[in-house]
Amino acid sequence: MSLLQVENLNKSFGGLMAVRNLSFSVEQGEIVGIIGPNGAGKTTSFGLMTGFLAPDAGSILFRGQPIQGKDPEEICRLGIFRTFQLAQSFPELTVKENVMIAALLHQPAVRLAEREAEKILARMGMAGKGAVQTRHLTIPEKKRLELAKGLATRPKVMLLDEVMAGLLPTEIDSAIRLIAELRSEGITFVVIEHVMRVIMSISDRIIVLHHGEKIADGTPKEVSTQPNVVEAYLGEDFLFA
Amino acid sequence: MVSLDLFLQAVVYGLIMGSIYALTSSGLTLILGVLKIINVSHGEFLMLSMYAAYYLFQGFQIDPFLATFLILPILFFFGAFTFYFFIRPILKAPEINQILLTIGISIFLQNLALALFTADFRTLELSYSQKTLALGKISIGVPHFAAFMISISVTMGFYWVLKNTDLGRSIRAAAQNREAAILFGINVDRIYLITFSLGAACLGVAGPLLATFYYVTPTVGTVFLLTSFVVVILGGMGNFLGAFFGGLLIGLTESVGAIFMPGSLSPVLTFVVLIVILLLKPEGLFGKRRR
Amino acid sequence: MMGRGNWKFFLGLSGALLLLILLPLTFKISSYSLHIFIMVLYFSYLSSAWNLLGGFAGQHSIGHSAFVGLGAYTSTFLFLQIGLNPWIGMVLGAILASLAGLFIGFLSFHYRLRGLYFVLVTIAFAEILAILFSNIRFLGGASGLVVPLKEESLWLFQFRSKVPYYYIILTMLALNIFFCYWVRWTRLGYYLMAIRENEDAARAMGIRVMDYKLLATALSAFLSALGGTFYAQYTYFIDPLTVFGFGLSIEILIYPIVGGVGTVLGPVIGTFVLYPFAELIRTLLGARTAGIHLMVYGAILVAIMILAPRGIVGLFGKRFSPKKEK
Repeated sequence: MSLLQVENLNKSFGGLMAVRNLSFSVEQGEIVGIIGPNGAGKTTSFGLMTGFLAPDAGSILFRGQPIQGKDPEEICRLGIFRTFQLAQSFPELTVKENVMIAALLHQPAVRLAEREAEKILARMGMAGKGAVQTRHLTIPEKKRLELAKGLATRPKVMLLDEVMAGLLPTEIDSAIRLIAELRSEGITFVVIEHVMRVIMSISDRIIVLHHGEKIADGTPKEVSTQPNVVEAYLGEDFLFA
Repeated sequence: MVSLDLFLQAVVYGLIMGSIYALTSSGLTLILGVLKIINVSHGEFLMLSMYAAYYLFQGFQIDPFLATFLILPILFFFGAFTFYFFIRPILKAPEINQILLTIGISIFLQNLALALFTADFRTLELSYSQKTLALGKISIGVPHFAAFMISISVTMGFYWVLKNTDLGRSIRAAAQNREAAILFGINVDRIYLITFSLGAACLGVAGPLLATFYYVTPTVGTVFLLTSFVVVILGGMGNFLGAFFGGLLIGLTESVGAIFMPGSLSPVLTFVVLIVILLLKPEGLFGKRRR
Repeated sequence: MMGRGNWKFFLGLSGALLLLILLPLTFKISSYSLHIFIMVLYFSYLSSAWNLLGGFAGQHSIGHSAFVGLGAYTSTFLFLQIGLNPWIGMVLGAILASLAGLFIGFLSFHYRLRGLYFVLVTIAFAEILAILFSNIRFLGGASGLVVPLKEESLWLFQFRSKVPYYYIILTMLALNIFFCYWVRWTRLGYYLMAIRENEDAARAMGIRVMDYKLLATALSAFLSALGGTFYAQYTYFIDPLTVFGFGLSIEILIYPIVGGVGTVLGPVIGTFVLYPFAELIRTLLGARTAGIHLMVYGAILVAIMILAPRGIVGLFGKRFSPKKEK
């Protein structure tokens, strides 16, 4: 049984079909990349998988149990965490408080949750920023905060939505290392990315979406040589590794 | 059993009051939709325009319906003044601060009226106050009828402006998406000012109309404010048509409800309608669901 | 640094509490002044109760008088009709108020409507209760209910002098503050703040937003209703326009916002500053022309909102904002 199984997912907004008959699966311990031109339905699928959107048809199974249409908080409790493209945090609260609140999910004692938050922030290289209000953070820092919050919820699956955008190459390298570490600790990843060298280097498998449909599903090497994938990106500013 | 005549009479009166509710609520819902602010002093603007009509008649014998032409621009500028000096500074403040600010304005204006005019209930006695029109077996007061016609016309005119003019389109754009409106070159600050002033201007029309048959007192605004709130929820926040039909609906509910229960209890019926709507279609009769 | 476990905070608070306890015993206070003190404590209490929902959770109710009134009417009515002990009536009233809170909370939160809906629904609810109670003669109608004068006794929650009332409301306030403080620094408090700051982000972290909003509403309603019974027992008279009034609902939220919404002591500070001030301008200006002192009051509110948006607590620097860690 796959860890995450998406079957025939459909979602339209008004007359626009955002996701069409989408099916794929994710196995425990995999890092699956999702790529596609803008408007391909990538973020929409994340919304559907995490309860922020309800599908018109189709199902999503997590460990064999259907989760489509469930509330976002229930899905998080089950172990799926998702980052947002526009980092969503608690602007008036401090960095540490943000991560603490995420940690409180599994650690109801405030002092212990605080310790956990400190450990996670240290791991993310943000130990010194604990007392800073999140509205004062830079964009890369906000993205690291998103990851930190996610880790605090002790996820089994992390859905990362373009966490690399706007990062410097050295920052990207640390992020890649971190993801690899976390994977070896048992977390499964589904990653939406535009930065190709990241996707190509970390993904075990890549899914390509175009106009809401899956047009390819295979290893990075397989996918990068498929003609319909190349065609979908003609005209796009895209570099293959 | 209730006689048909009594029922129809109540329907007529309900529609008349409903048209007034529609007019006052339109202004409120517009301000809510565009500025996202609950203007608690909305009722006091109405109250002041009623006093203006009252004193223009007492002092200069100007008929209230004619006085509307004078009071509308006065309220427009008064709204602009209030917006520019008091609302604009707190547009980015937390919601509760904005509410408290408008509460402060409301307290100030209500007590200003109290100090200037005393708490006495005042009514206008016009030459035609007691005259009625006959519609079959139903009788309608002349001032009531005129108020109804004008309310409906003004509300419909306002709706036409919103739908078909550049100004109206800009207002609707700013209500839907502030950032996008700015990108399209719409001067959103100016739109905010105009919207708030238009909301006040609506009351500049409703006030004189009401003064021809309703009592004038410093606290009269609160009554209409509360009803307007219910209408706004019913019609969907920011939804102009919703405020129109919602206003008529509430007017009817109150009036027809008064036949079946003691008159002062009929607002309870309004609340029941509110609860039903919230349970079944919470985004309002015309609103759109989230998610 | 009104932060968690801060000894200066507790020391200051204990000192203030001690002062308040000793006040009536040490000085010869006029009945009028004592009444003012009691009212200050009473409104501090109600404001703190409101702050749990409005400040911590960010759900702004402008209809909290509904809960106060339900508390007042339940205990008074039962006392009148079946002689039920007011203390027991107090608890029953609080339970009724919580249920009412859950009801309107459910209506407003169920479909994830914008926060403004809750504001308007609470206004409408309090208004409806005011109208209902004014028109139902069985419940006293517009003339209200008079609390029967039996005998002076703590058991019956009745005293001849004002002093026992002072100590009762002081105790209630102290317990309320400690409760708010406790909530603030436990998971409940953090979750409520998360909901206030960003509901979607809170959901994404597994917080059951609806449950917590309802919990906050029920707690806030419960505490408010207890205050309502106190009011009834103290003034011996309640009527719908007062205890269910829009004016009361507004007053309850003015103090926390002026003091510093979302902080533990903000509501208390706001009341201690604003209530005596309002009394002062009333005595100075209220005599000649009705309304002048309230004009000043309204103008001051407007000024504070423009000039000091974070309230009095916010004015004294970021150090006192509990939104930062110590």
